[in-house]
Amino acid sequence: MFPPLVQKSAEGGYFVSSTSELVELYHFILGQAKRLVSGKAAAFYLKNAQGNLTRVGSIKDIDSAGKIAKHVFKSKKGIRLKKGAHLTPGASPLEDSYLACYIGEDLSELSIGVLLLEGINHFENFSEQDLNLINYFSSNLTALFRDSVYSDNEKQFYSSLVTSIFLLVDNSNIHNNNNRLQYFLEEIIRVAILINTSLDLDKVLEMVMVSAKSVFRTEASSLLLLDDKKEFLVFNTVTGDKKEEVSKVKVPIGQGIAGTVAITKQPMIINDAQNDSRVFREVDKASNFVTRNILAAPLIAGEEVIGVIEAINTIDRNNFSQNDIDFFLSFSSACAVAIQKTTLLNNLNLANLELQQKVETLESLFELSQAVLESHDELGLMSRALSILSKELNAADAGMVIILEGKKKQIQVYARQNGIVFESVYEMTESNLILESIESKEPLIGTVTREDSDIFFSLESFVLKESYLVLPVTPSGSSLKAALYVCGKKKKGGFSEADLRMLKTISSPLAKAYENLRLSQEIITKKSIEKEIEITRNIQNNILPNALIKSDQFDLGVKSVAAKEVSGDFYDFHQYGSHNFSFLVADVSGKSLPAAIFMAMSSSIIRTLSRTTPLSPSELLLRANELIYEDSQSGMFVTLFFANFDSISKKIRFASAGHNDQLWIRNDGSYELLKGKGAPLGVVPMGKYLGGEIDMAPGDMLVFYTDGAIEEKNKIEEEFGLERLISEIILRKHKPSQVIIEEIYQIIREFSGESEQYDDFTVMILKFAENVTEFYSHSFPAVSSSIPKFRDFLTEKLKDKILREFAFDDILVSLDEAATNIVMHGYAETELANPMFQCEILIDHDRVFFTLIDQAKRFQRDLVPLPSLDENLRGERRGGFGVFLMEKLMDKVSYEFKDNKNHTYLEKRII
Amino acid sequence: MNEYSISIRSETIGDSEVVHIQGNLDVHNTHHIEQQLMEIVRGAKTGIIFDLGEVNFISSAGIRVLVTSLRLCQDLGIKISICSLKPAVEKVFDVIGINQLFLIHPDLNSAL
Repeated sequence: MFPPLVQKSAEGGYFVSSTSELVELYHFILGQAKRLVSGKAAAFYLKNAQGNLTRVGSIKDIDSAGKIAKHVFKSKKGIRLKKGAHLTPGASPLEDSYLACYIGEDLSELSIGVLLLEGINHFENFSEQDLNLINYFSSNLTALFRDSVYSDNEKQFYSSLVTSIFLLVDNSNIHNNNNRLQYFLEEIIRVAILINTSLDLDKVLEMVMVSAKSVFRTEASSLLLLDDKKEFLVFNTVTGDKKEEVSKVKVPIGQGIAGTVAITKQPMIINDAQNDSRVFREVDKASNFVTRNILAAPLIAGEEVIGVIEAINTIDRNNFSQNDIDFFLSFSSACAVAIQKTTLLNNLNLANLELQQKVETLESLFELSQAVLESHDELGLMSRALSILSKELNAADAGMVIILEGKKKQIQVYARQNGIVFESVYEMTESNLILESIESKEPLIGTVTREDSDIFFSLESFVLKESYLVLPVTPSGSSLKAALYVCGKKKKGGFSEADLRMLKTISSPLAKAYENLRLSQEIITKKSIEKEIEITRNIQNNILPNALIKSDQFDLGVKSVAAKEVSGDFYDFHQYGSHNFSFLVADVSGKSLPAAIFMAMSSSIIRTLSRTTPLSPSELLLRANELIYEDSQSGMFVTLFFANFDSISKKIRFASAGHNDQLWIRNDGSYELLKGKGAPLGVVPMGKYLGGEIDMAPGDMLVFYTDGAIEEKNKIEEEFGLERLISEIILRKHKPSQVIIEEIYQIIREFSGESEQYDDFTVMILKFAENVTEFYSHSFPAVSSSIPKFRDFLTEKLKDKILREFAFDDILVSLDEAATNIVMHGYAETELANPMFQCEILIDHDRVFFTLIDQAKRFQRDLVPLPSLDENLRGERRGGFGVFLMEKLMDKVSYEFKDNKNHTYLEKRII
Repeated sequence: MNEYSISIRSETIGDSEVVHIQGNLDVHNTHHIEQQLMEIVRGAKTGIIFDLGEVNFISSAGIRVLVTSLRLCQDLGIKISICSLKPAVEKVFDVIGINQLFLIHPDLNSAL
C-alpha cells in the first residue's frame, strides 16, 4: 500500500508528504495557479509532520507572505490584500497585492496549508474574481490531495496526478470563464447605471475604459475621439502604464487600426500587431510600448462615427477571440451613448443658458415696464430703470445722459452711483466722448486706462468708471437726443457685444417711457395751468360788476383786458342811496389763482365797507387795510384808488392806497392829477390814507386807470406814458366814455406793435354831463301840409340829443298832435289871412321844453272830452285822441292864454 | 309837385285784401288817402289786412282812419287785422288802447 498524499501525524493532525518528486509537482501546481490569475509569484505553505508550515515556491516579501499564510491557515478563510495595505498598524505597506487561500476542509480536521500568490501582472491588485478563482482552485486541490495516494514507484500515479492537476486547471478556467461572463454582465450593467447617473463625461469614460480593460483583461485600453475637422483621432481616455505619453499622439483618419475602424465603422482584431503593417507605429514609438494585439471598435452616434475604442495586449491569453468583439461592441456603444447623452445634455444646458438669459432679459423688460407704470417723475423712473440696467448688465452703475434743447443747450445727467441716482446738469463744453457718441450715433465700448483719464472731460470722468459701454439713444420720430451708459462690468474683460445688444433691447422702451413721462408731465402742467386760469377767470368775472351804472349825471365807461388769461386788475362801481356813487380801480400784486383769491377777498372787504358804512374814502381804506392785512398771509398786496361821488353836492372825495395818480380832465381841456398818499393795502398793519375832495363841473371827466394803461412799450422800449394818455383822451373828450376807452385801447395796442399785452389794461372814465342849453324857434303856416315840415324841424334839432328810449318818438307824436289841434281845430274858423303857429325849443341839459304859440281862438282844456274808442266805433265821434296822446306821452303839458295867444308848454326828459 | 309823402297799394292774397301803406300816417297824409282806403275796404270780400311795415309815424289822425275802417268792416262783416307794427307806432296803439280792438300780427305771414 502506498501512503496517501495526506497523512495523519502522530499528534492526530494531517500533513502532506513532501518528497522531491512531490515538490516538483507542487511547483507545477504553483505555475498553473500563477497562470490562472497572472500572478507574479506563488507559494504553498504546507503543514509538515511536526505541524509547522513549510514554504514551497519563491516569494519576494517572505516575511509578509509568511504572516499572511499563517493568518489564513488559522482562519481557514481566503483573503485578498491590496498593494500598500498594512498587515499590522505601523508595519510597512505591502509592495504587492496578495491572494492567500486555505487548503483544507472547513468542517473536518483536514487541514493541509495555504496557497499564496504575490503580485499581479499588468494590474495593481488582484480582483475579487481572482480570489474566487483561487479559492475554487484551492478547494478542488484540497479534494485532489485528500483523495490521492502516494507511491514512489508507481510512475502512473505521478502522471495521473498531473493529468488531474490539468483537469483541475481546466475546470478552474471554465469556472473562471463563467465568472467572467457574469462579471462582464455585471460590468455592463454598472456602466449603464454610471452613464445614466453621472454627468461628468470624462469620469464616465475613464471608468468605462477601466472596466473594459479589466473585463477583457488587457494591458491597456483607450478611447479616441474624432476632432472637429474630422481629420484626426485624438486620445481622450487612456488606461494603462503609458497613459501620459499616448495622450499626446494623434492618429490620422484612415491610418492605423483606429483610423481604419473610424472609416469602415467595423470592429477589428489584430492578433499579430508587430508584423501587421496596418498598425500605426507612432503610438508605440511615443510611448515606448510594444503592442502585441489590438481589439478595436467604432463609436457610433446615430450614423456618424465619433471615435474608436481599443483594448490592447491580452494578459491571460495570446489572442483576442471573435467572442470578444461582441462584448467589446457593448462597451463601444455604452461609450457612444455616454458621449451622445453628455453632448445632448451640454447642448441642452447651453440652450437652457440662452433661454435663461432671454428670460432674464424679459424679466428686466417686465420690471422696466412696471417701473414705467409706477413712476410719476423722471427721477423716479431713472432710479428704477438704472438699477435694472445695472443688474441686467452686471454693471456697477448705469446712467442716462440727455441733451436739453432750449435757448441754452445743456446736458442733463441721471447717474447711478453706489445705488443712488443723482440728477445733475452739465454744460455742453464739459463732455467729449459721450457727446460725440450721441452726435455720431456710434456706441462706445471700452475700459478706462490711465491715458483715458487724461483726455476725459468732467462728465466722462464723473460717469465712466473702470469699464464702460455707452449707447446713443435717438429714437426715430423723436427729438430725444440721449445716451445710456453702464460702467464697472463685474466680469473680467469689460463689456461685450452681447451686453451692447442687451442694452439696445432695454434702451428703446426706456427712451419711450422717458419721453412719454416728459410729455405727460407737460400736458399735466399745462392742464393744471389751464384749470387754474379757468377758476381764476371765473372768480374775477364774479368780482367785476356786470352792468354799467346808467345815470343822467354822468356817462360811465370801463374796459379791463388781462395781459394773459388772468388779470391782476379789478374795478368796481356802486350806487347807494339816490345820489351816492363809489368807484374804484385796483391792481393786485402777483397773478393767477392765489392773486385772484386775494383779489376776491380784498374786493369783497372794500365793497362791504363801502356799502355798509358811511366812511370817507380815507377812513374806508384805513379800515380795509386792517382787514386785508389780517388775511394777507402770502405777502400779497393791492394798490387801489377809491372815489365817492355825491350827485347833489357834485363832490368827488377820493383816497389812494399806493395807486397811480389818477386824472381829472376839465371841460376846458386842462387837467389835474389826483394824488393820494398811503401804502398799498395789505402791506402795513396800520395804514394812513390821504386823498382829497374836488368839485365836479359839467363836462369834467375823471379817468381811473392802472399802470398797464401807461407802461406799455413800443419797439424802441419807449413807454406809452401818462402824457400821451392824457392828450389822447382830451382829443376825444366829446365822445361817449366807452368810445374813448375803446379807442385808447386800440391806440395803445398799435403803439406796442405786439400781439400780446405787457400788462393788464384797466381804464374807467366818468364823464359828467355838460351843461347844454340850446334854443330854437320857428314859425309855420297853419296848414296841414306844415305838419310834416314841422316834424322835420323837430327831427333836425333834436334827433341826436335825445338819448332816452322812445323820448324822441313821444315828442314827435305829441308835438304833431299839438300842432294838428292848432291847425285843424284852433284855426278852423279863423278870419286871419295868414294864420301861423310858432314853436320854441329849449334844450336844457337833460330836458327839452317846447312852447307852441298860436293866435287861434282860446283853447279850453276843460272842454275837451275824454277819448272814447267805443264812441268812435259806434260812429258817434271821430277822433278825439290827440290831447290825450299828447298829455300821456310828454312828462308835462300845460296851457296858457296870454297876450291873446295860446301857449302850449310841453316838457320831456331826454337823457 | 307832390306834397304828399304817402302811398297805398293793395293786393289780393287768398281770401284777404292786403293793403300796404307806405309813409307817415299824420293828419295831412291821412286826409289824402282816406277815400281810397275806404274804397279798398268796401271792395274787400272776406278779409282785409293793413300792412303798416313801412309806417314810421302815426298820429291820432291815423288812428282815427284805422278805427273808421274797423267800424266799416264790422258793418260789412269783414275780418280786419293789422300787421308789422313799428315800435313807435305800436306805442301809440298801446297808449290809446286800440291794440285791443284789432287783431295785430307781427308780420304779414302770420296775418294771412
